[in-house]
Amino acid sequence: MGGLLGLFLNPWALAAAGLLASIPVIIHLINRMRYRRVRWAAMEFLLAAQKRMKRKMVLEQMLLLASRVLLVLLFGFLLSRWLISGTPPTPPEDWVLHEVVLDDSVSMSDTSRDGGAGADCFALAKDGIKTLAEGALSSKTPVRLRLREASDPAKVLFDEQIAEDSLATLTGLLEGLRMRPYQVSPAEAVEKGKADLSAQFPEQRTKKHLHLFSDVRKADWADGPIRGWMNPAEGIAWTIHDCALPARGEETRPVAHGNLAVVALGSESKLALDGQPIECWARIANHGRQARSAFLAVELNGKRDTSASRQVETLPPGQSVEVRFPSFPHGETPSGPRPPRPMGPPVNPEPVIHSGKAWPVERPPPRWRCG
Amino acid sequence: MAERDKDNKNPRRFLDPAVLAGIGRLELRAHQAVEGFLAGMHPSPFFGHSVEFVQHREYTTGDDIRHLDWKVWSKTDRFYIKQFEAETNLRCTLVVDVSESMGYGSGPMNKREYAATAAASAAWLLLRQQDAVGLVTFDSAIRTILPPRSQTRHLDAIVSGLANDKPREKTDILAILKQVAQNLPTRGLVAIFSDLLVDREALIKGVQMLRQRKHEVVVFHLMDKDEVDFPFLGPTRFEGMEALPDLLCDPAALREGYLRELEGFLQEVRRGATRLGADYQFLRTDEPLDAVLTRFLHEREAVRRAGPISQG
Repeated sequence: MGGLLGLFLNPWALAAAGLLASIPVIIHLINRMRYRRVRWAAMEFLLAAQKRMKRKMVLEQMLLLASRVLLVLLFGFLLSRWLISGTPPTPPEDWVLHEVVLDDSVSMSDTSRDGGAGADCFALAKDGIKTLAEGALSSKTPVRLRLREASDPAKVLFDEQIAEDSLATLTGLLEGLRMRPYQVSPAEAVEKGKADLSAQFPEQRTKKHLHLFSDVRKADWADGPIRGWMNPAEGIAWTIHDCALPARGEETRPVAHGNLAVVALGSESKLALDGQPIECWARIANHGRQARSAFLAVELNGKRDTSASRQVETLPPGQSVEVRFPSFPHGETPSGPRPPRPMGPPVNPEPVIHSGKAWPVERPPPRWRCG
Repeated sequence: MAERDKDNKNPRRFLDPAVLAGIGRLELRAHQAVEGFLAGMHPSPFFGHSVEFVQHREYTTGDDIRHLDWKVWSKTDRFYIKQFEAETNLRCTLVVDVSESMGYGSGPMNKREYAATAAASAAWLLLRQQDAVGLVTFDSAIRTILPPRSQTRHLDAIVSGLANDKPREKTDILAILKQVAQNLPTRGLVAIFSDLLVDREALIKGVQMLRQRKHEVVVFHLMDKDEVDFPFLGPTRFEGMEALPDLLCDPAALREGYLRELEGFLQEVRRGATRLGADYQFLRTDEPLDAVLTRFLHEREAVRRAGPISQG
């Protein structure tokens, strides 16, 4: 019943409709009490007519009563979904369903490695779920959210339409959730959620989302079942909320450009003379199934080096190509008069001071960025 | 108010001048031979002294020799009696239902008052023709019985008898008609004024009993306009008269079935009366009585001129 009431924007108006629906019955009973009396002589014809038409009359009366009750109920439904809230009626096809799986494995206790202070992954995941629900509250489209833990896939902890009161319920529920002291794979819970989403509301216009709030360990991601979930089912959107701490930096995130990737990057020399370019190379691989063209853009110390950027016209699928390009580790070629080179072997390993500017002989390798 | 009560208690209120003026120029004649005790205008089963010759009959011992046809004797040397058609007065008995159901009325007159007015008017017409008129009022038993008399002052007794009876118990028509048939020794006219809300089989049997005793029977079937049209709307509790149960219903929903039942009843009564040779006349209490009686008397006269229905 709670689920049924959850379908309405104003369940109290629905209850009021139930009360309104009893009005025709009450009117009928009042009419039976309020009648006029007639002393009647030709009673035998009346009794015979009543006997003959009794079934028809009962049927007509029941139909009349049912139609009146139905009319009032429909009016109540209309009120409960639209008029009181001022929200236009939404067809059921426009529902959004969120199936959320919360990873409550022991690995979610990781913190940001600053001595254990601050929030852990589990708290981050709960905040993410709460943020998702708060975002749904402002949506004009009715949103229903269902929550389950990875450790108990069969048990649905929360299953309601998102509203003010249900959001408070969800917040209270999230605060009470605790991690398990052992390692749990979210695979089974995700599969269960996926099956439930597919089974419910088969209308095509119903939007379905599957969310996994997890730290996404290597065991799950690289070789585990998550790789197989990337295309979960027809009509279900799939989102992994990475709750790992410390947060995976940009460098650690896999770079993907339509199955093109820079798989290796290097230079021919780690020593370079001032103002002289060094030869660099990058190996670009095509992991896709179609031939692609690629453009290697080179940035040196955060600035685009257009002279070093290269275009690869055709890169067959499954193959890689090495692209070479020159680069100036010292940045742009200095303009103006070049300072005199030190003559002879350097006596002092310290940098030569000239015109107030230090010119080291050897510099650490630059931070390359290719994309 | 007191004046109106006084009028309501006056039995002569049943002698409505408008009605009497309407039927005053007409006659109520018997269709068949009746046995009266005076010379009159109705055909008699006996031979009498009218100018209408009927037949010759051979003289037998005991015959009055004043009736011998001497012309036939002179020619045939045999004695023959010459017989003429006799005409006598009519003995009419008005049988009026005063049961509880006759008390229903939606107009100015209920069925009982309408029946009493019709019966009084018929009595006035018959007495004016020198016919004898008697009265029987009944419900479950006979309440008033007045033997047929032909004196004019007998009209007062009749209207008093009609006024005295208040609507009472249910109708037991078979027992009443049986009693009436037994108490009328000679053939005459029996006019029944009733709403006929009785067992149809008993009614037919009672009329049949009267017909077997050679009485001419006229059935005046009275019904109120509400009983015919059934115009009720809204929740109504119908309280049954004559020990019938009450019924709370929506009359509009029952109207179709009621009218169908009523139509079946009217057809059954009309056919039963016609089959037994009784004259059937349906009266609605909202129709002017003078017009109804005038039409009825005209129709009877037309039928009489066309030829007798039955000689009994």
